[in-house]
Amino acid sequence: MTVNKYLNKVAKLFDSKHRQCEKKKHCLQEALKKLRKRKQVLKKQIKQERSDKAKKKLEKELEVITTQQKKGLQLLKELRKD
Amino acid sequence: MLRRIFLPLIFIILTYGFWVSPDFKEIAAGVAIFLFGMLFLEDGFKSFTGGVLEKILKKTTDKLWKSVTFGIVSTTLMQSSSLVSVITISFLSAGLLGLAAGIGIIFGANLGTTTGAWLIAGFGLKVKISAYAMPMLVFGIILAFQKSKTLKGIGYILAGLGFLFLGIHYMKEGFEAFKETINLAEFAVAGYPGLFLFCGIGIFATVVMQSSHATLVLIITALAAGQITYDNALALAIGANIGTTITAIIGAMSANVQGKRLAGAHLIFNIVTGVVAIIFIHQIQFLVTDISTMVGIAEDNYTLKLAVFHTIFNLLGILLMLPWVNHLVIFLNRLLPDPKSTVIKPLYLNNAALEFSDTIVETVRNEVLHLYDNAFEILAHGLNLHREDINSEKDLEQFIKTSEKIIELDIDDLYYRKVKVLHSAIIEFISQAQGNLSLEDTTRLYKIRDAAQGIVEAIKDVKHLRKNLIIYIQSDNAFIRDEYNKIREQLGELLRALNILYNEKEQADLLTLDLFKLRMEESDVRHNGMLEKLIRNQQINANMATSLMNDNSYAYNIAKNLIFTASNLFGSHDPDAQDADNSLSLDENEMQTLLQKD
Repeated sequence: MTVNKYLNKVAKLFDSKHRQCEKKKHCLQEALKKLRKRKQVLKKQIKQERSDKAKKKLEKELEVITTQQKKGLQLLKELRKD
Repeated sequence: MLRRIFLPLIFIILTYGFWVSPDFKEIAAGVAIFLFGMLFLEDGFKSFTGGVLEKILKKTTDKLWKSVTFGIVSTTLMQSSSLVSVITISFLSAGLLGLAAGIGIIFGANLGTTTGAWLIAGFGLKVKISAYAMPMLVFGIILAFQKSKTLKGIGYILAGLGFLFLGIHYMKEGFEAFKETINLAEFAVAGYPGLFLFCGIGIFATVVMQSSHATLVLIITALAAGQITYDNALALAIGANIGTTITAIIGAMSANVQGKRLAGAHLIFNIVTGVVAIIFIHQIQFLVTDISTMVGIAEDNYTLKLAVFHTIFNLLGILLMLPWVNHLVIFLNRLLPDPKSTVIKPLYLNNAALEFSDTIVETVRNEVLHLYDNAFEILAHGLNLHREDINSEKDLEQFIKTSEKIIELDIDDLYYRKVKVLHSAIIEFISQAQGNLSLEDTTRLYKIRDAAQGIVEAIKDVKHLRKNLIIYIQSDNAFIRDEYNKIREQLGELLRALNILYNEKEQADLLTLDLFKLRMEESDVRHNGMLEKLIRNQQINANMATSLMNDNSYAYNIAKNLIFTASNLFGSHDPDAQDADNSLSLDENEMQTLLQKD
């Protein structure tokens, strides 16, 4: 069992498709990480903002990020399934 | 500092001169009309560039002897070497002639002008070309309003000549007062000092009267009246020959460096010829006597002898200077170098970079970024915004409301100097590189090439947008002003965001571009709604409405092209990271869903 597990790992290591998939996953995770960070900053800014117009602008940006995040999470889920 | 005080100083001197002397006013107006004529003439000749005139000129001036003949014939017909020099300067400035051919014409003009001395001495004739000024102006201006390019060109040339004649006429009129005071007998001095003195007087008299022909009339009259000796008359004729270059020098003031070089050649030729003639005056005198005897001119007919002298010394000048034409061209090119080229050259493209696939892609990317740098200036100024204001943290909305002062800008010139040259070099480099690239790199390269195209398209749209923008941001109608300021604000904010991405280099988060795509769509919808409202409430007229409609479309395209450029050019160079960003980027449906939420 343990030998099989290791053999699988070694096989994956030499499988270019798998490697590519892993890299895609990694890149996607990185992009999502960036989005998460920006979302946090934006939320703080919205709380502090007093002007309604500026607040609206920031909220719009937040909406865009949220949509991108959802899309990214969905894609990541699909990649993990594969 | 010096430049800043120069113009006001000139104005003060001119105003004082106008106040003190009406003659001075006439002379100054003459110079101004003359220069105005030069500008017309240049425009006229420019409209024939690449056409019939260029072919004729090329054929008639492709060899030095041909251009000398051209100068002789044209000056004999026009009876004014100054005018032929000025027209040649225009040819040269318009790029229709080379400097060597121009010099040949000038040499020929010097010989052609001696026919005037023959006419004056032999028949007492003087062709008054200034009489043609008025009809030329009238016909010229009528033709200048025609649609046909050829007729327009002819119109400009005729009007230019008309203004030249009129300018010379006013200069002469103004100098009449000076002419009255010239009494040549007062300066009679024997020997070489006398020769140099009379040569100087000849220069002065010709500069003052703006015509070597007029000076020759004066010399012949004085000689006939016995006011001056034959030697003095010869020296005066030499001086008149040098003085006549002043018209070409004035003409060259509004010309480009080539025109100035030609005026320099004219001056050098006439001075050298004059100096040689003075040094060998006795030998030339013997020659004149021999030739006069040969052709049957009476020994005491000094007026015709003067015409012979005039011809011989100009012919000698040509024979003396012709072998040195190429040296003269080199000397003048050195003395008056081309103004430093302000055309931006590629920074990164070079043949060594063509060796490797990776360096090709990165080289092109860097050069397109360089292109973007240059384009940024045009885009910002095109929107009537300064780059530092875009790059600052200023509230653009507030700032734009108060910044109505128009930034002077020649987009076509900037585009040619700072964008087109780079863009062409990039395209050429890419075409050279294509054989050395893998499929993946070719795709990457094409994306960067498309980014460059996006920049160029954005500049072209900014050019169109600017035409109305600079009018309406100064309009008294607050509604139209606000709409154009909103366009400036939106594009200014986009440029600000793009600059941040540009500076973040590979760390740039291109997903922020989605926000601008959304804003772009939002503002398109808003503009359409607003336009209808403004028309319905009669807050803007139909002209304003159509302008705004078109310009909104330009603004939309500018934003679209810039976003496209940024997504292809900025951010990570890693294809996987780019793919990840692309997969998160919002598609049209998602964009619509967000738009409908409002």
